[in-house]
Parts: sequence; C-alpha cells; structure tokens
Amino acid sequence: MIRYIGKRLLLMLPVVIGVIFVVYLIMYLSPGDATTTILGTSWTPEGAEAIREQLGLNEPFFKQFFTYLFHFFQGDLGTSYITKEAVINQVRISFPNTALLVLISMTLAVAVSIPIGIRAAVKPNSFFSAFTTAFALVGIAAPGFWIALLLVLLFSVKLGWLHASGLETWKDAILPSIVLALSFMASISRMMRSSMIEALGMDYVRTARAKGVKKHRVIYRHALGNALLPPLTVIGSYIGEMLGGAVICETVFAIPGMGRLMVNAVLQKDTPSVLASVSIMAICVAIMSLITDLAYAFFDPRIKALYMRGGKSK
Amino acid sequence: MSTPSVDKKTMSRREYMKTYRKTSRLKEMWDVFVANRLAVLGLIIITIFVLLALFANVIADYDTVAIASNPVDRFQGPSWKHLLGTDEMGRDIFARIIHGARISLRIGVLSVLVGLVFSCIIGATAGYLGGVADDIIMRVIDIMACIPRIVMAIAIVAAFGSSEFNMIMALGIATIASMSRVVRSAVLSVRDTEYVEAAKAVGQNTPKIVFSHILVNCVAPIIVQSTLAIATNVMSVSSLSFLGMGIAAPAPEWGCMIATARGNMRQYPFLVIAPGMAIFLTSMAFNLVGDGLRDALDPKLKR
Repeated sequence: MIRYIGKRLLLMLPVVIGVIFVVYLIMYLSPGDATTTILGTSWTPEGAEAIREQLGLNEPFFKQFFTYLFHFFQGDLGTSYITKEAVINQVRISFPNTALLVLISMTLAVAVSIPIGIRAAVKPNSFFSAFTTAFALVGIAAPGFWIALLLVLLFSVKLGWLHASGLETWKDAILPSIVLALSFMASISRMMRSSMIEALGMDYVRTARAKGVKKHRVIYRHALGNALLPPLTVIGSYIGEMLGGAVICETVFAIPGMGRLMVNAVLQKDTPSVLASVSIMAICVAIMSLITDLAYAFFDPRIKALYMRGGKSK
Repeated sequence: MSTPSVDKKTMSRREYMKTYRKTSRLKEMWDVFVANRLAVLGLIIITIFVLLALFANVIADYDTVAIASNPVDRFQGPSWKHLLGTDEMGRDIFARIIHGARISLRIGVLSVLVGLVFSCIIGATAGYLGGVADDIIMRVIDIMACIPRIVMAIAIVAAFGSSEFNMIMALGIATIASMSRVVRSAVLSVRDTEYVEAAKAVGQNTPKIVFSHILVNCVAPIIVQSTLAIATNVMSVSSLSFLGMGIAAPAPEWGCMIATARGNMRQYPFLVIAPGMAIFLTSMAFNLVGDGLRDALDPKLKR
C-alpha cells in the first residue's frame, strides 16, 4: 500500500508540471502585451523594453517557462502587474476562503443528498422520489449565479435575514455554500439513489430479507455499506466543478477567494495572478483526485487486494 | 435495406416489414424515447426555443426592438404589447430573450461540435492505437481534466479576447477532456469486435476502419454526451457573459441581461428572473433529452 501511495505521489509531479505548462502556454500565446498593462498611461518604448528585459519576456519560451516553474515550486508566484504586490500574498488571503467555502458546501451536500438518495431508492414510486428527481433537475440545470441572485432576493431583500455579500461572519457563508452545494447535491443524490436501488436488488439483500432480518436493518446494514461506495468516492472528482462553481459564487457574493482573484485578474489582464490562481486550482484538483483514488483503494477490499499483491495500477 | 431478392418479388415492402421485422430499430428507439415523458417535454421545449430563435427577426426586429433604447417605456410590467415587460432602457424583454436564444443555442451547439471533432480524433486515436500512444494521450487528457471546465474557458477567453469565435473555441476546448474519455472508452468497446477484424482482414486502411466501422458504432454514447454537453455549455456561455468575459453589454445575451439587471434587482426582480428562466429551461431541456436518449439509444448506459 505504501509503495502504491509513493508511486502515485511520484506520478502526480508530471501532472502538476503539465498543468502549469498548459496554463503558461495559453497565457504566452495571448496576443496582448504585458507592458501596456504594467505601464498604463506612462507607456514609452524605452520603458517597455526595460520591463521586458526585467521580466525576461525576451527570452525563449522554454527558458521563460522553466524559470517560472522553478520559482513556482519555491513559492514565488511573481508580482502582480496591477497591485505590484507578490501574488503569493494575495493567494494566502484568498485560498483559505475558497477552501472553507468548498469544504462547507461539500459537507452540506453530502449530509443532505445521501439520506435523500437512500429514501428515494427505498420508496421508488413515492411522491418523495419524484420530488427528488425534480430537485436534482433544478440543481443540475439552473445556473449558479442565477440561483445565487434568487436566494439573495428572497433572504436578503425580502426577508432581510442574511447579507447579500461579503464574508464577515459565519452567517455570510450560508448562502454561498447553499448555491455551491446545490448542483453537487443533485448529482450525489441521483447517484446515491441508483446505487442504492442496485444494491437492494442484490442476492445478499434478498437472502437477508428471506432470513427475516428487519427491513430497517436490511437497508442500513446490508445494502447501505455497498451502496455508499460509488457516491462517496466520486466526491473527489467533483472538486473541479466545485472550484469552477466557486469562481462564480465568489463573484456574486463578493467573497475574496481564489475565484474572485482569478476573475479580477482576468478582467485587469494581470497575467501573473491569472497564472497562479488557475495553476493552484488545477493542482488542488489533481491532489483531490489522487486522494480519491487512494480512498477507493483503501475502502474497497477488492481493489485493495489488487494492490496488496503488487498488482498493476491502471 | 438489404432485402433478400426473393422476398422483393413476392411481396411488397410493407408486407415484408410486417412479416419479418415487426419494428425497425429506429422505431424501437423512438418508442423508448417517447415513453419517457420528461424527455418528450425536453424535446418540446428545445423545439420551441429553436423555432423562436429561427424566427426571432420575424417576431421582433433586432435593431429597433431588442437593441434600441426606448426611455418612455422603462420598467413596464407584462402586457399584450410587451409580453414579459420592458427593462431599464425600455427594451422589450421577450424580444431580447428570443434573440438571446439565438446566441446561446449557436454558441452552445457550435462549441460542442468543435469539442466533438477534437475529441473524436483524440479519443479514437488513443482507443484504436492503444499501448504507448494511448498512455501518452490519456496522461495529457488527465492534465487537461485537472483544470475546471469554466476556469479553462475563462483562461482561454482571457488570453485571446472575448469574441464569439473565441468563446466557441474556448468552450469547445473545455469539453475535450470529458468528451474524449467517452469516445475512447466507446472505441475500446468495439475495437476488438469481429466486423473490425473482418475489415482489417479484407485489407481496408486504418482511417477507413476507424471512421466507417468503429466511430459509426460509437454514435450512441457520443450523441448522449454531446446533448448533455450542450446543456452545460449553454450555461457556461451565460456564466461567462455574466462575469463580463463573454458577449458584451448591448447584445441580448441571457447572462449579460442578468448582469445588467442586477443593479435594479431590488425594485425589479423580474428582470433577473426572466432571462435566468430561459437559461434554466434550455439547459434543463437538453439534460432531459440527453437522459432520454441515453435510455433509448443504449440501455447499457442507463444510470
């Protein structure tokens, strides 16, 4: 198991470098000129040349990239074109907010959607099941920013219970996490429902029922254990979508997180901040998918056995 | 139709169908699809939006009704003259929404087509060749999959500017990661079938085998995935425009309309609700049809 973890960790390095490369390439190919952003109205050909020399923009692409990569792994993410501040400082302020937001909404989504999914599976033809399907549909098809504005309309404008923006107290985290959790909830409850229906049709469940085990115990003891695996392990792969949702959520609620850092950087053409925020988000996704794979191997005895015997990783 | 010649002589085509093939495969799929009431609802909604988008200029002129401001009629409620009322510049909201449908559907569908072309090439190459080529291609796809879809689209639009063409390319490229995985696994599932082996034995060249034997038989999952991707991309278009990185202000793009209406949201919530409803309905319709197609085209894919 330890060898497997070590191997996976090693395999992550090229992914991280690749991600930074892709983002760097996109930014490098952009037709805009960094010097006009940095100098603004005080732009002169000489000044622009000096800046290009200073930032190494005249160097060949790969030299620039490897210099950036080298600095990146040392925690130096460059200097913002706009605020002239080290990007790492902005990231330090933004990252915890986004992490908190994603963590809360993830917990919320799991806590709500797993019981919903179980109930919808146990009573497949009930009103509740139909309601769940409808709810999932809204969660998947309604754009996050629209739901956010509707919730603001209801809870801040009409009822006046919560603030429409900012992240000052714990109450301010309620609306953004609900918005962020919603689409996630929809997918998980759908998945939990189908996985539970499948588990309830298994032979061992029929056997348990035939033995006269109580209905409650059959559901929560026999079926649930196996049905929980797919929805729980898929959580890690949703982290990308959550971060994408966080970009929009943070913008609507004016939360100083990674997403807003990125959006502002994009709007102001602040390339170092764009690079840093996109790369960091992508690295988070890479780490989460690694953790998911490991968790899968850890929880599912069948897969665990495969690695214990020194089996091949996929 | 490969009707045996003996049958053709003795009975009409209709008779033949009656005796030997009770229902055609297409009819069978259609029956499964129609039995799913939600999928039919989705199809109806899509048809309505497509018709409205096609005849948008007939229903309401773009320049004079959807774009030109008309300060006298500001913030009117729904009436027969203005079905959904008017916005902060006196423009008819219904007219703007149906012109917005044009933009959303155009970008949504075209971006998926762009992603589809790339994904088919990438996925088919990886799946068909296998081995080292497959490994390398899929590692690159893994890397692309690490960048969240909307973040990827934002990065590309940020780098190259927010023209409609760039948005189509950006959203198309953002769908490659998930789509090429679907194509690859579909290709893998038919790669070793007997008819592919037969084609190889006859000596057909590789592109011919891939296009006319393998990809043709992967159509079901690809269509399902594309339909669902249109739903996502329609939402992404308006999300990008809402963030100020997509279609710019005077254009009647749905996300853009919401962004503009946000300032007056407290007094006139309807200005935010109406365009959002349009996004929701379109995206929901494509989701429903996608789910319906999944059940109809390939029962194995059923979730």
